[in-house]
Amino acid sequence: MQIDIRGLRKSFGDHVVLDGIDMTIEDGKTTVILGQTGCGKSVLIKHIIGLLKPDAGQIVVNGIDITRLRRSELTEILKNFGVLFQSAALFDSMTVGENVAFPLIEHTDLPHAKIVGIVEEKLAIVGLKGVESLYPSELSGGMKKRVGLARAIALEPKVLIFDEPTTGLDPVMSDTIDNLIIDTQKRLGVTSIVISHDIPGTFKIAHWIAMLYKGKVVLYGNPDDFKNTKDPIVRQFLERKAEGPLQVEV
Amino acid sequence: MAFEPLKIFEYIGERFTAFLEELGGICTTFVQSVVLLFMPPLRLDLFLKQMEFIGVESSFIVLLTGAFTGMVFALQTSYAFRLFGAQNLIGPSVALSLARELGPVLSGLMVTGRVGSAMAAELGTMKVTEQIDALSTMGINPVQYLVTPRVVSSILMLPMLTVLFDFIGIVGSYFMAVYLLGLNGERFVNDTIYMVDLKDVYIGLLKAAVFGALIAVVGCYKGYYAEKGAEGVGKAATQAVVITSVSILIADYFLTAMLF
Ligand SMILES: Nc1ncnc2c1ncn2[C@@H]1O[C@H](COP(=O)(O)OP(=O)(O)OP(=O)(O)O)[C@@H](O)[C@H]1O
Ligand SMILES: [Mg+2]
Repeated sequence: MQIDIRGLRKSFGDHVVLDGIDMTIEDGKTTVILGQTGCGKSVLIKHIIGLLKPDAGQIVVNGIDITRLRRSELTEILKNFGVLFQSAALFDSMTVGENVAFPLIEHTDLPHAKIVGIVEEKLAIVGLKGVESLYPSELSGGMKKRVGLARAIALEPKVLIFDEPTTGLDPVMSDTIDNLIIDTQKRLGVTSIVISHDIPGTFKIAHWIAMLYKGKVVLYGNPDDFKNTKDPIVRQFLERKAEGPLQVEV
Repeated sequence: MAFEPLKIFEYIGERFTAFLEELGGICTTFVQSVVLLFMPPLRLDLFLKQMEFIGVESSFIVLLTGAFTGMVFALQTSYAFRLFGAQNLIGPSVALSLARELGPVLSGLMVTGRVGSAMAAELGTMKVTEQIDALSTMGINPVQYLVTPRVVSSILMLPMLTVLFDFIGIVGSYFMAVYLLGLNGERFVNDTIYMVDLKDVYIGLLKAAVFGALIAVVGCYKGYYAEKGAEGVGKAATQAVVITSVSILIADYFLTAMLF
Protein backbone atom coordinates (compact mmCIF):
# COMPACT_ATOMS: atom_id res chain seq x y z
CA MET A 1 0.00 0.00 0.00
CA GLN A 2 1.37 3.36 -1.00
CA ILE A 3 0.80 6.23 1.39
CA ASP A 4 0.96 9.83 0.19
CA ILE A 5 1.21 12.57 2.74
CA ARG A 6 0.28 15.95 1.27
CA GLY A 7 0.63 19.33 2.94
CA LEU A 8 -0.02 17.94 6.41
CA ARG A 9 -0.36 20.57 9.12
CA LYS A 10 -1.09 20.17 12.81
CA SER A 11 -0.91 22.52 15.76
CA PHE A 12 -1.77 22.00 19.41
CA GLY A 13 -2.95 25.42 20.60
CA ASP A 14 -0.36 27.81 19.18
CA HIS A 15 2.34 25.13 19.18
CA VAL A 16 2.91 24.26 15.52
CA VAL A 17 4.08 20.64 15.32
CA LEU A 18 3.65 19.71 11.65
CA ASP A 19 4.04 22.62 9.25
CA GLY A 20 3.36 21.20 5.82
CA ILE A 21 4.70 17.65 5.51
CA ASP A 22 4.90 16.24 1.98
CA MET A 23 6.21 12.77 1.34
CA THR A 24 5.43 9.42 -0.17
CA ILE A 25 5.77 6.11 1.64
CA GLU A 26 6.63 3.69 -1.13
CA ASP A 27 4.70 0.43 -1.37
CA GLY A 28 6.62 -2.63 -0.20
CA LYS A 29 9.60 -0.65 1.07
CA THR A 30 10.90 0.44 4.45
CA THR A 31 10.82 4.15 5.20
CA VAL A 32 12.57 5.43 8.30
CA ILE A 33 11.61 8.74 9.89
CA LEU A 34 14.35 10.54 11.78
CA GLY A 35 14.26 13.71 13.81
CA GLN A 36 14.91 15.30 17.16
CA THR A 37 12.90 14.28 20.14
CA GLY A 38 9.63 16.21 20.24
CA CYS A 39 9.77 17.15 16.56
CA GLY A 40 6.48 15.43 15.77
CA LYS A 41 7.38 11.94 14.53
CA SER A 42 4.82 10.21 16.71
CA VAL A 43 2.27 12.89 15.87
CA LEU A 44 2.88 12.20 12.17
CA ILE A 45 2.20 8.48 12.44
CA LYS A 46 -0.85 9.08 14.62
CA HIS A 47 -2.26 10.95 11.63
CA ILE A 48 -1.49 8.00 9.37
CA ILE A 49 -3.51 5.68 11.60
CA GLY A 50 -6.34 8.17 11.99
CA LEU A 51 -5.91 8.86 15.70
CA LEU A 52 -5.33 12.55 15.06
CA LYS A 53 -7.11 14.75 12.54
CA PRO A 54 -4.93 17.25 10.68
CA ASP A 55 -5.64 20.98 10.58
CA ALA A 56 -4.93 20.85 6.84
CA GLY A 57 -3.61 18.39 4.28
CA GLN A 58 -4.33 14.85 3.19
CA ILE A 59 -3.13 11.33 3.76
CA VAL A 60 -3.91 9.18 0.76
CA VAL A 61 -3.82 5.41 1.16
CA ASN A 62 -4.54 3.41 -2.00
CA GLY A 63 -6.12 6.48 -3.55
CA ILE A 64 -8.39 7.22 -0.55
CA ASP A 65 -7.94 10.27 1.66
CA ILE A 66 -8.20 8.70 5.09
CA THR A 67 -8.43 12.00 6.96
CA ARG A 68 -11.98 12.40 5.70
CA LEU A 69 -13.24 8.87 6.29
CA ARG A 70 -15.97 7.85 8.67
CA ARG A 71 -14.98 5.60 11.58
CA SER A 72 -16.33 2.42 10.01
CA GLU A 73 -14.54 3.05 6.71
CA LEU A 74 -11.31 3.85 8.49
CA THR A 75 -11.64 0.64 10.49
CA GLU A 76 -11.63 -1.38 7.26
CA ILE A 77 -8.36 0.24 6.16
CA LEU A 78 -6.82 -0.12 9.61
CA LYS A 79 -7.26 -3.89 9.43
CA ASN A 80 -4.28 -3.85 7.05
CA PHE A 81 -2.09 -2.02 9.57
CA GLY A 82 0.03 -3.37 12.39
CA VAL A 83 1.13 -0.72 14.83
CA LEU A 84 3.77 -0.72 17.55
CA PHE A 85 3.26 2.29 19.81
CA GLN A 86 6.20 4.10 21.36
CA SER A 87 4.99 3.00 24.80
CA ALA A 88 4.16 -0.51 23.47
CA ALA A 89 0.56 0.07 24.70
CA LEU A 90 0.08 -3.51 25.85
CA PHE A 91 -3.30 -4.21 27.46
CA ASP A 92 -2.32 -4.51 31.10
CA SER A 93 -5.42 -6.48 32.07
CA MET A 94 -4.36 -9.28 29.70
CA THR A 95 -1.44 -11.68 29.74
CA VAL A 96 1.29 -11.50 27.12
CA GLY A 97 -0.28 -14.41 25.27
CA GLU A 98 -3.71 -12.78 25.27
CA ASN A 99 -2.19 -9.54 24.03
CA VAL A 100 -0.59 -11.16 21.01
CA ALA A 101 -3.68 -13.31 20.39
CA PHE A 102 -6.01 -10.31 20.62
CA PRO A 103 -5.96 -9.18 16.97
CA LEU A 104 -6.23 -12.81 15.85
CA ILE A 105 -9.27 -13.46 18.02
CA GLU A 106 -10.93 -10.21 16.97
CA HIS A 107 -10.32 -10.41 13.25
CA THR A 108 -10.03 -14.09 12.29
CA ASP A 109 -12.04 -17.27 12.82
CA LEU A 110 -8.96 -19.38 13.51
CA PRO A 111 -9.40 -22.22 16.01
CA HIS A 112 -7.93 -21.78 19.46
CA ALA A 113 -5.09 -24.26 18.95
CA LYS A 114 -3.98 -22.49 15.78
CA ILE A 115 -3.95 -19.12 17.54
CA VAL A 116 -1.83 -20.52 20.37
CA GLY A 117 0.62 -21.74 17.75
CA ILE A 118 0.81 -18.37 15.99
CA VAL A 119 1.30 -16.56 19.30
CA GLU A 120 4.18 -18.85 20.18
CA GLU A 121 5.72 -18.40 16.75
CA LYS A 122 5.48 -14.59 16.79
CA LEU A 123 6.92 -14.40 20.28
CA ALA A 124 9.79 -16.65 19.23
CA ILE A 125 10.52 -14.32 16.30
CA VAL A 126 11.10 -11.44 18.72
CA GLY A 127 13.21 -13.66 20.97
CA LEU A 128 10.71 -14.41 23.70
CA LYS A 129 9.86 -17.89 24.93
CA GLY A 130 7.51 -19.10 27.64
CA VAL A 131 6.31 -15.66 28.66
CA GLU A 132 2.70 -16.16 27.50
CA SER A 133 1.21 -16.27 30.97
CA LEU A 134 3.05 -13.25 32.36
CA TYR A 135 1.34 -9.88 32.71
CA PRO A 136 2.84 -6.75 31.09
CA SER A 137 3.63 -5.34 34.55
CA GLU A 138 5.99 -8.28 35.07
CA LEU A 139 8.06 -7.50 31.95
CA SER A 140 11.09 -5.27 31.45
CA GLY A 141 10.80 -2.27 29.15
CA GLY A 142 12.55 -4.01 26.29
CA MET A 143 10.40 -7.11 26.68
CA LYS A 144 7.25 -5.00 26.49
CA LYS A 145 8.51 -3.46 23.24
CA ARG A 146 9.06 -6.90 21.76
CA VAL A 147 5.66 -8.18 22.86
CA GLY A 148 4.21 -5.06 21.19
CA LEU A 149 6.13 -6.01 18.05
CA ALA A 150 4.81 -9.56 18.16
CA ARG A 151 1.27 -8.22 18.52
CA ALA A 152 1.79 -5.81 15.60
CA ILE A 153 2.91 -8.57 13.25
CA ALA A 154 0.42 -11.20 14.48
CA LEU A 155 -2.04 -10.65 11.62
CA GLU A 156 0.76 -10.32 9.04
CA PRO A 157 -0.53 -6.89 8.00
CA LYS A 158 0.34 -5.15 4.75
CA VAL A 159 1.58 -2.03 6.50
CA LEU A 160 3.75 -2.05 9.60
CA ILE A 161 4.22 1.09 11.66
CA PHE A 162 6.87 0.92 14.35
CA ASP A 163 7.41 3.83 16.72
CA GLU A 164 10.96 3.37 17.98
CA PRO A 165 11.12 -0.43 17.90
CA THR A 166 14.72 -0.59 19.11
CA THR A 167 14.86 2.23 21.64
CA GLY A 168 15.62 0.71 25.04
CA LEU A 169 16.97 -2.55 23.63
CA ASP A 170 20.57 -3.69 23.92
CA PRO A 171 22.67 -3.56 20.70
CA VAL A 172 22.38 -7.27 19.98
CA MET A 173 18.63 -7.30 20.47
CA SER A 174 18.35 -4.11 18.37
CA ASP A 175 20.10 -5.85 15.52
CA THR A 176 17.79 -8.85 15.88
CA ILE A 177 14.79 -6.54 15.55
CA ASP A 178 16.37 -4.80 12.56
CA ASN A 179 16.80 -8.20 10.93
CA LEU A 180 13.19 -9.01 11.73
CA ILE A 181 12.07 -5.82 9.94
CA ILE A 182 14.24 -6.58 6.90
CA ASP A 183 13.07 -10.16 6.87
CA THR A 184 9.33 -9.38 7.06
CA GLN A 185 9.74 -6.78 4.36
CA LYS A 186 11.47 -9.28 2.05
CA ARG A 187 9.27 -12.25 2.88
CA LEU A 188 5.86 -10.58 2.83
CA GLY A 189 6.62 -7.43 0.87
CA VAL A 190 5.18 -5.25 3.60
CA THR A 191 5.32 -1.48 3.61
CA SER A 192 7.08 -0.41 6.80
CA ILE A 193 7.28 2.95 8.47
CA VAL A 194 9.85 3.00 11.23
CA ILE A 195 10.62 5.83 13.60
CA SER A 196 14.11 5.51 14.93
CA HIS A 197 16.89 7.23 16.83
CA ASP A 198 19.36 4.50 15.91
CA ILE A 199 21.49 5.77 13.00
CA PRO A 200 23.42 2.59 12.13
CA GLY A 201 20.19 0.60 12.34
CA THR A 202 18.49 3.12 10.08
CA PHE A 203 21.13 2.73 7.38
CA LYS A 204 20.76 -1.02 7.65
CA ILE A 205 16.98 -1.29 7.26
CA ALA A 206 15.94 1.79 5.27
CA HIS A 207 15.12 2.02 1.59
CA TRP A 208 14.03 5.59 2.16
CA ILE A 209 14.77 8.01 4.95
CA ALA A 210 12.94 11.21 5.85
CA MET A 211 14.25 13.66 8.37
CA LEU A 212 11.86 16.05 10.10
CA TYR A 213 12.94 19.40 11.45
CA LYS A 214 10.76 22.30 12.58
CA GLY A 215 7.61 20.70 11.23
CA LYS A 216 8.97 20.05 7.74
CA VAL A 217 10.86 17.32 5.91
CA VAL A 218 14.42 18.70 5.60
CA LEU A 219 15.73 15.77 3.62
CA TYR A 220 14.11 12.81 1.93
CA GLY A 221 16.23 10.25 0.12
CA ASN A 222 17.87 6.85 0.17
CA PRO A 223 20.64 5.97 2.65
CA ASP A 224 23.33 7.07 0.17
CA ASP A 225 21.72 10.50 -0.17
CA PHE A 226 21.94 10.82 3.59
CA LYS A 227 25.53 9.63 3.79
CA ASN A 228 26.59 12.13 1.11
CA THR A 229 24.44 15.08 2.06
CA LYS A 230 25.94 18.52 2.60
CA ASP A 231 22.93 19.76 4.54
CA PRO A 232 24.45 21.03 7.80
CA ILE A 233 21.39 20.16 9.87
CA VAL A 234 21.30 16.57 8.67
CA ARG A 235 25.08 16.22 9.02
CA GLN A 236 24.99 17.45 12.61
CA PHE A 237 22.17 15.03 13.44
CA LEU A 238 23.87 12.02 11.86
CA GLU A 239 27.19 12.83 13.50
CA ARG A 240 25.41 13.35 16.84
CA LYS A 241 27.03 16.70 17.67
CA ALA A 242 25.62 19.21 20.13
CA GLU A 243 27.11 22.17 18.25
CA GLY A 244 25.68 23.29 14.94
CA PRO A 245 22.72 24.91 13.24
CA LEU A 246 20.26 22.39 14.65
CA GLN A 247 18.82 23.91 17.78
CA VAL A 248 17.71 22.10 20.87
CA GLU A 249 14.41 23.60 21.91
CA VAL A 250 14.13 24.37 25.58
CA MET B 1 -4.14 42.98 40.10
CA ALA B 2 -6.91 45.56 39.93
CA PHE B 3 -10.41 44.60 40.94
CA GLU B 4 -12.39 43.94 37.81
CA PRO B 5 -16.01 43.25 38.55
CA LEU B 6 -16.74 42.11 35.01
CA LYS B 7 -14.26 39.27 35.45
CA ILE B 8 -16.78 37.63 37.74
CA PHE B 9 -19.23 37.24 34.89
CA GLU B 10 -16.49 35.92 32.68
CA TYR B 11 -15.59 33.38 35.33
CA ILE B 12 -19.20 32.31 35.87
CA GLY B 13 -19.71 32.05 32.13
CA GLU B 14 -16.61 29.91 31.71
CA ARG B 15 -17.61 27.56 34.50
CA PHE B 16 -21.11 27.30 33.12
CA THR B 17 -19.96 26.39 29.60
CA ALA B 18 -17.52 23.88 31.05
CA PHE B 19 -20.39 22.37 33.03
CA LEU B 20 -22.62 22.14 29.98
CA GLU B 21 -19.81 20.63 27.94
CA GLU B 22 -19.28 17.95 30.56
CA LEU B 23 -22.98 17.25 30.85
CA GLY B 24 -23.18 16.92 27.08
CA GLY B 25 -20.17 14.61 27.04
CA ILE B 26 -21.64 12.38 29.73
CA CYS B 27 -25.00 12.15 27.94
CA THR B 28 -23.32 11.39 24.61
CA THR B 29 -21.22 8.67 26.22
CA PHE B 30 -24.35 7.10 27.68
CA VAL B 31 -26.26 7.16 24.40
CA GLN B 32 -23.27 5.81 22.45
CA SER B 33 -22.71 2.97 24.88
CA VAL B 34 -26.35 1.91 24.72
CA VAL B 35 -26.57 2.14 20.93
CA LEU B 36 -23.38 0.10 20.58
CA LEU B 37 -24.91 -2.65 22.70
CA PHE B 38 -27.11 -3.51 19.74
CA MET B 39 -24.32 -3.62 17.18
CA PRO B 40 -22.22 -6.72 16.64
CA PRO B 41 -20.07 -8.18 18.01
CA LEU B 42 -21.49 -8.94 21.44
CA ARG B 43 -18.58 -9.89 23.70
CA LEU B 44 -20.38 -11.74 26.45
CA ASP B 45 -17.27 -12.48 28.51
CA LEU B 46 -16.64 -8.75 28.99
CA PHE B 47 -20.14 -8.32 30.40
CA LEU B 48 -19.76 -11.27 32.76
CA LYS B 49 -16.43 -9.97 34.00
CA GLN B 50 -17.94 -6.58 34.77
CA MET B 51 -20.96 -8.11 36.46
CA GLU B 52 -18.65 -10.07 38.68
CA PHE B 53 -16.64 -6.98 39.53
CA ILE B 54 -19.60 -4.65 40.09
CA GLY B 55 -22.07 -7.13 41.56
CA VAL B 56 -20.45 -10.12 43.17
CA GLU B 57 -17.44 -8.30 44.51
CA SER B 58 -19.53 -5.47 45.97
CA SER B 59 -21.90 -7.79 47.79
CA PHE B 60 -19.84 -7.93 50.96
CA ILE B 61 -19.68 -4.20 51.60
CA VAL B 62 -23.33 -3.90 50.66
CA LEU B 63 -24.28 -6.63 53.15
CA LEU B 64 -22.18 -5.03 55.84
CA THR B 65 -23.55 -1.53 55.38
CA GLY B 66 -27.08 -2.87 54.93
CA ALA B 67 -27.04 -4.82 58.19
CA PHE B 68 -25.76 -1.90 60.21
CA THR B 69 -28.12 0.57 58.57
CA GLY B 70 -31.09 -1.63 59.43
CA MET B 71 -29.91 -2.06 62.98
CA VAL B 72 -29.21 1.57 63.71
CA PHE B 73 -32.43 2.58 62.05
CA ALA B 74 -34.45 0.24 64.26
CA LEU B 75 -32.69 1.64 67.30
CA GLN B 76 -33.27 5.25 66.35
CA THR B 77 -36.92 4.86 65.46
CA SER B 78 -37.56 2.94 68.63
CA TYR B 79 -36.70 6.03 70.70
CA ALA B 80 -39.22 8.10 68.81
CA PHE B 81 -41.99 5.52 68.60
CA ARG B 82 -41.70 4.64 72.28
CA LEU B 83 -42.84 8.17 73.13
CA PHE B 84 -46.30 7.44 71.84
CA GLY B 85 -46.31 3.70 72.23
CA ALA B 86 -46.15 2.87 68.54
CA GLN B 87 -43.22 0.49 68.64
CA ASN B 88 -44.99 -1.91 66.33
CA LEU B 89 -44.31 0.60 63.57
CA ILE B 90 -40.55 0.05 63.76
CA GLY B 91 -40.60 -2.82 61.29
CA PRO B 92 -42.73 -1.17 58.63
CA SER B 93 -40.97 2.18 58.86
CA VAL B 94 -37.53 0.63 58.58
CA ALA B 95 -38.64 -1.54 55.66
CA LEU B 96 -40.28 1.35 53.84
CA SER B 97 -37.30 3.66 54.24
CA LEU B 98 -34.94 0.94 53.11
CA ALA B 99 -36.95 -0.02 50.07
CA ARG B 100 -37.72 3.52 48.93
CA GLU B 101 -34.62 5.47 49.89
CA LEU B 102 -31.82 3.98 51.88
CA GLY B 103 -31.39 0.76 49.94
CA PRO B 104 -30.81 2.28 46.52
CA VAL B 105 -29.06 5.44 47.72
CA LEU B 106 -26.65 3.84 50.15
CA SER B 107 -25.85 0.91 47.85
CA GLY B 108 -25.32 3.45 45.09
CA LEU B 109 -22.93 5.49 47.20
CA MET B 110 -21.01 2.44 48.38
CA VAL B 111 -20.63 1.15 44.84
CA THR B 112 -19.60 4.61 43.64
CA GLY B 113 -16.68 4.59 46.04
CA ARG B 114 -15.61 1.14 45.00
CA VAL B 115 -16.52 0.81 41.36
CA GLY B 116 -16.86 4.34 39.97
CA SER B 117 -13.37 5.31 41.05
CA ALA B 118 -11.92 2.03 39.78
CA MET B 119 -13.52 2.52 36.37
CA ALA B 120 -12.20 6.06 36.07
CA ALA B 121 -8.72 4.95 37.12
CA GLU B 122 -8.67 1.94 34.82
CA LEU B 123 -9.89 3.73 31.71
CA GLY B 124 -7.75 6.74 32.59
CA THR B 125 -4.64 4.57 32.74
CA MET B 126 -5.59 2.90 29.47
CA LYS B 127 -5.99 6.33 27.93
CA VAL B 128 -2.67 7.78 29.03
CA THR B 129 -0.72 4.63 28.17
CA GLU B 130 -2.17 4.62 24.64
CA GLN B 131 -4.08 1.35 25.20
CA ILE B 132 -7.30 2.99 24.03
CA ASP B 133 -5.48 4.25 20.92
CA ALA B 134 -4.20 0.72 20.36
CA LEU B 135 -7.77 -0.62 20.52
CA SER B 136 -8.99 1.80 17.88
CA THR B 137 -6.07 1.14 15.56
CA MET B 138 -6.90 -2.56 15.80
CA GLY B 139 -10.29 -1.66 14.41
CA ILE B 140 -12.15 -2.00 17.68
CA ASN B 141 -14.56 0.62 18.91
CA PRO B 142 -13.22 1.47 22.38
CA VAL B 143 -16.59 2.70 23.61
CA GLN B 144 -18.21 -0.57 22.62
CA TYR B 145 -15.36 -2.61 24.06
CA LEU B 146 -14.87 -0.72 27.32
CA VAL B 147 -17.86 1.46 28.16
CA THR B 148 -20.86 -0.60 27.03
CA PRO B 149 -20.14 -3.66 29.22
CA ARG B 150 -19.55 -1.45 32.24
CA VAL B 151 -22.70 0.61 31.80
CA VAL B 152 -24.97 -2.34 31.08
CA SER B 153 -23.57 -4.47 33.91
CA SER B 154 -23.85 -1.61 36.33
CA ILE B 155 -27.49 -0.97 35.39
CA LEU B 156 -28.24 -4.67 35.96
CA MET B 157 -26.23 -5.19 39.12
CA LEU B 158 -27.23 -2.16 41.18
CA PRO B 159 -30.88 -3.31 41.62
CA MET B 160 -29.62 -6.72 42.71
CA LEU B 161 -27.29 -5.19 45.26
CA THR B 162 -30.19 -3.07 46.46
CA VAL B 163 -32.31 -6.17 47.02
CA LEU B 164 -29.46 -7.54 49.13
CA PHE B 165 -29.21 -4.29 51.04
CA ASP B 166 -32.97 -4.14 51.70
CA PHE B 167 -33.14 -7.75 52.80
CA ILE B 168 -30.17 -7.72 55.15
CA GLY B 169 -31.26 -4.34 56.52
CA ILE B 170 -34.68 -5.70 57.44
CA VAL B 171 -33.09 -8.78 58.98
CA GLY B 172 -30.82 -6.49 61.00
CA SER B 173 -33.72 -4.42 62.24
CA TYR B 174 -35.65 -7.59 63.11
CA PHE B 175 -32.87 -8.79 65.36
CA MET B 176 -32.59 -5.37 66.94
CA ALA B 177 -36.32 -5.12 67.53
CA VAL B 178 -36.93 -8.67 68.71
CA TYR B 179 -33.80 -9.51 70.69
CA LEU B 180 -32.79 -6.12 72.03
CA LEU B 181 -36.01 -4.18 72.27
CA GLY B 182 -38.15 -7.20 73.11
CA LEU B 183 -40.86 -6.80 70.46
CA ASN B 184 -42.97 -9.66 69.17
CA GLY B 185 -41.24 -11.18 66.15
CA GLU B 186 -44.34 -12.50 64.44
CA ARG B 187 -46.08 -9.16 64.70
CA PHE B 188 -43.00 -7.41 63.35
CA VAL B 189 -43.07 -9.56 60.26
CA ASN B 190 -46.82 -9.35 59.72
CA ASP B 191 -46.95 -5.57 60.15
CA THR B 192 -44.06 -5.13 57.79
CA ILE B 193 -45.60 -7.28 55.08
CA TYR B 194 -48.93 -5.54 55.53
CA MET B 195 -47.55 -2.00 55.29
CA VAL B 196 -44.97 -2.32 52.55
CA ASP B 197 -46.21 -2.43 48.98
CA LEU B 198 -44.37 -4.22 46.22
CA LYS B 199 -44.57 -0.90 44.38
CA ASP B 200 -42.28 0.62 47.00
CA VAL B 201 -39.72 -2.05 46.28
CA TYR B 202 -40.03 -1.70 42.50
CA ILE B 203 -39.55 2.03 42.56
CA GLY B 204 -36.51 1.57 44.77
CA LEU B 205 -35.08 -0.85 42.23
CA LEU B 206 -35.78 1.55 39.38
CA LYS B 207 -33.86 4.20 41.28
CA ALA B 208 -31.01 1.74 41.75
CA ALA B 209 -30.85 1.09 38.00
CA VAL B 210 -30.61 4.83 37.33
CA PHE B 211 -27.84 5.15 39.92
CA GLY B 212 -26.09 2.20 38.29
CA ALA B 213 -26.10 4.01 34.97
CA LEU B 214 -24.77 7.18 36.61
CA ILE B 215 -21.91 5.36 38.34
CA ALA B 216 -20.65 3.65 35.20
CA VAL B 217 -21.20 6.50 32.75
CA VAL B 218 -19.52 9.13 34.89
CA GLY B 219 -16.66 6.78 35.84
CA CYS B 220 -16.02 5.82 32.22
CA TYR B 221 -16.41 9.36 30.92
CA LYS B 222 -13.94 10.75 33.45
CA GLY B 223 -11.43 8.00 32.69
CA TYR B 224 -11.86 8.20 28.94
CA TYR B 225 -11.10 11.92 28.94
CA ALA B 226 -8.42 11.85 31.63
CA GLU B 227 -5.51 14.21 31.18
CA LYS B 228 -1.99 12.92 30.67
CA GLY B 229 -0.02 11.42 33.51
CA ALA B 230 -0.62 9.84 36.88
CA GLU B 231 -2.00 13.11 38.20
CA GLY B 232 -4.67 13.20 35.50
CA VAL B 233 -5.74 9.67 36.33
CA GLY B 234 -5.95 10.42 40.05
CA LYS B 235 -7.99 13.53 39.36
CA ALA B 236 -10.34 11.57 37.11
CA ALA B 237 -10.98 9.01 39.85
CA THR B 238 -11.64 11.63 42.52
CA GLN B 239 -13.91 13.67 40.27
CA ALA B 240 -15.84 10.58 39.24
CA VAL B 241 -16.65 9.82 42.87
CA VAL B 242 -17.64 13.38 43.72
CA ILE B 243 -19.75 13.94 40.62
CA THR B 244 -21.47 10.57 40.89
CA SER B 245 -22.25 10.92 44.61
CA VAL B 246 -23.76 14.37 44.13
CA SER B 247 -25.72 13.27 41.05
CA ILE B 248 -27.11 10.26 42.90
CA LEU B 249 -28.52 12.49 45.61
CA ILE B 250 -29.92 14.98 43.13
CA ALA B 251 -31.37 12.26 40.92
CA ASP B 252 -32.86 10.64 44.01
CA TYR B 253 -34.77 13.81 44.82
CA PHE B 254 -36.26 14.09 41.36
CA LEU B 255 -37.07 10.41 41.07
CA THR B 256 -38.83 10.48 44.44
CA ALA B 257 -40.79 13.57 43.47
CA MET B 258 -41.79 12.06 40.15
CA LEU B 259 -42.51 8.44 41.08
CA PHE B 260 -44.23 8.44 44.45
N1 LIG C 1 -2.11 15.27 22.28
C1 LIG C 1 -1.23 16.28 22.32
N2 LIG C 1 -1.60 17.47 22.82
C2 LIG C 1 -0.73 18.50 22.84
N3 LIG C 1 0.51 18.45 22.39
C3 LIG C 1 0.94 17.29 21.89
C4 LIG C 1 0.09 16.14 21.82
N4 LIG C 1 0.79 15.13 21.26
C5 LIG C 1 2.01 15.62 20.99
N5 LIG C 1 2.11 16.91 21.35
C6 LIG C 1 3.28 17.77 21.17
O1 LIG C 1 3.74 17.58 19.87
C7 LIG C 1 5.16 17.59 19.84
C8 LIG C 1 5.67 16.38 19.09
O2 LIG C 1 5.42 15.22 19.84
P1 LIG C 1 5.83 13.77 19.33
O3 LIG C 1 5.35 12.81 20.35
O4 LIG C 1 5.37 13.58 17.94
O5 LIG C 1 7.41 13.83 19.34
P2 LIG C 1 8.42 12.76 18.77
O6 LIG C 1 9.04 13.32 17.56
O7 LIG C 1 7.73 11.45 18.63
O8 LIG C 1 9.49 12.70 19.93
P3 LIG C 1 10.24 11.43 20.56
O9 LIG C 1 11.38 11.12 19.67
O10 LIG C 1 10.71 11.92 21.87
O11 LIG C 1 9.25 10.34 20.67
C9 LIG C 1 5.64 17.67 21.28
O12 LIG C 1 6.08 18.98 21.52
C10 LIG C 1 4.41 17.37 22.09
O13 LIG C 1 4.42 18.17 23.24
MG1 LIG D 1 7.70 9.74 19.59
